[in-house]
Amino acid sequence: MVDIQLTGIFPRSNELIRATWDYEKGKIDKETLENKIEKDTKRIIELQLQTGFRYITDGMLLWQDLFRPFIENIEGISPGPLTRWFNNNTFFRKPIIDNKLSSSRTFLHEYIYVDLLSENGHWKVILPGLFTFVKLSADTYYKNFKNLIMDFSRIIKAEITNLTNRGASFIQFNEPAITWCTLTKEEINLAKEAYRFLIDDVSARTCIHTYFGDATPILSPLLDYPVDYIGVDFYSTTFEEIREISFSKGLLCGCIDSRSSLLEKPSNISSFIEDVNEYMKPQDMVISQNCDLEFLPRNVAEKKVKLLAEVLKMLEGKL
Amino acid sequence: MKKLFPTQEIGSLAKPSWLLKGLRGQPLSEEDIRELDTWAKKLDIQGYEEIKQLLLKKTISEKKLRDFAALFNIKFFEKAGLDFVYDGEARRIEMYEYPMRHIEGIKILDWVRSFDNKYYRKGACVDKPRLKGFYHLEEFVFVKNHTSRGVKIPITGPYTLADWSFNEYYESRLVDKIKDFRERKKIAKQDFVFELAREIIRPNIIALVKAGAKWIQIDEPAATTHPNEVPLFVDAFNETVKGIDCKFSVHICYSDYSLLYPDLLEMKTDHLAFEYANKKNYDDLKLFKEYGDKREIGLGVLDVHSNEIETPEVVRDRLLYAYNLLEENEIYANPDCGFRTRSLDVAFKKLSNLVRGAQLARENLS
Repeated sequence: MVDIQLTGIFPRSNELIRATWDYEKGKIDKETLENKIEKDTKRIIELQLQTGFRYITDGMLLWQDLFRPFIENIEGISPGPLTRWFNNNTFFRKPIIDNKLSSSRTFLHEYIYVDLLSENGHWKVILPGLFTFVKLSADTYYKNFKNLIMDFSRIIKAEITNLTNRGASFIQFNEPAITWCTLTKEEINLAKEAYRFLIDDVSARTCIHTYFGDATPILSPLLDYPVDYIGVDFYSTTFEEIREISFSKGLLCGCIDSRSSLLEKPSNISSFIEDVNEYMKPQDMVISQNCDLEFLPRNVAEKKVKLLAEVLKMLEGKL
Repeated sequence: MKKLFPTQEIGSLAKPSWLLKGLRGQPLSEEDIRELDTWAKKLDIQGYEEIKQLLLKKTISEKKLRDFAALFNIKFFEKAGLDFVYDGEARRIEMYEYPMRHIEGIKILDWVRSFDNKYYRKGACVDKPRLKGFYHLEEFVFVKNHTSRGVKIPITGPYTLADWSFNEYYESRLVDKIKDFRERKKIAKQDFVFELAREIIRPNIIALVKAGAKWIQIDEPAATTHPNEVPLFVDAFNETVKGIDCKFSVHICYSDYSLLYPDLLEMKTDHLAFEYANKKNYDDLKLFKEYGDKREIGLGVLDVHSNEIETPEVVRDRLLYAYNLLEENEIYANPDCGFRTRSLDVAFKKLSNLVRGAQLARENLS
């Protein structure tokens, strides 16, 4: 089966960007801003539905970065300095872990338009990967990979349970750091155990998406992780170098470049996907961007989404 | 004997409301006029009453207003007491979009997020880049004619311009030649960076040096964005400045400086202006010692993303820490980066304390 999906934060419309500035200057109130965010979210959902997405997201317009909801709600974390988000001209607030992580309530549903998503069928949630959260945080409390990743997993597990109870049916963990950091064998195993604990009894489909870096060295160990899909950014990973790996899971195929405004030729992408399918033989495939579309202006991002439908059409009956 | 801890600014200042509204032909509010009055008097700017009247009548020409804004910023830095000044980038939209608008082959697209609700308009290279005209010459000549302080010109470097842009032209040329997506992007990036170095930045620098520029700061905040491209960044810098008789510095902020070494040792620069106050981590200075890098250091001692005013004593201590650690490097005192995101009031207080702190550090060593 072949699906098309979004993999991360979607760019805001120009109208919404201006509204955020107006809000900061006190020209509009919070309610007006929230209405504009909701309106923009509806457009993003509509775009996915029109394009033929089976699992939709809300575009994550309420997320200032991948970690922000966690910094704002988990006790033991405070916001740190602006820090470069991997190899992008984009910055995130570094989580500073200065106490034991705890959360007395679930909060992620406040950052997701659950009602809008639920009324439109299957929906997908994108979360920071466990490894990425731990590696990108400044930890002055635990100073111990295992204890930190397990405490964070407990909080995420409660969030996943809450979200799946509300209808989420696809959970994706964004793990760019897994391609950037050198992992010890112990860390690979500990992260695997943490993921096992996290999604042990989760009914939703699950995915770990690797991007911004070369996934080649980590791909084989990741195939042992207890998730349904592994994502690969083919603009950072050379296909020739991984094509012989026997892919025993589903593949999230990041083949639309979210960091280039050049529109891909659908024929080139479909031909590439046929090659991927022929060599790697994934159990099934999600065709997607390599990373969040928020690296593009909104109008270009929309074109790249629509392009997925053309690719899908070209692949009809071929896979 | 050389002055210890010379003080310098790094680049931009915030654009006051009277400037932005004046450029748009909008009426000034009472608050705008009050701000203009207060600062113009404080900075003792000649001819200010005439500018004010033209602004109020909305009859001021863009050139006259831009000149006044540049003079305002020069006086601002001078009043704060800095040894090296420029015009606070008063004539530039910002460090990226301004140069890109002077390059043929670049199409400016819509906004892309930098962080939170901060966005910038990103350019796409859609054709071979060609310089429309020297875009820093007029501002430099104006500054030179209006200050007796040292002048340092900030220029955005080729690597950053390329890295912050989409690369449609060079990528599309390779679509049918290189099948692998990753390799195609890599080669296309190299082509783009070197084209900008040779055809855009270098001619600008040559024109500035011919006009009398003695010190040029090349801003490369993207330098460590792709750690594997640090050699490309260094090669492009060297290609840009090759054989040009001028003092060069490179300014890099919000970066892991360890990623730059050892390649940075090959860079033909005299001065390295780095950010430290934001991270409150001066341990990174040990890198200079570790690699035997004895070039001048522009030490970031003011956090440009915080309204907290560093005291002169904090500035002094940061400078003395660097001085004692790196006896062979000449240390300059500067903010981490430009002050574009701070109010003029905050920027002025911070810069004034920078100057006082540098003086305290000198006194400590005398």
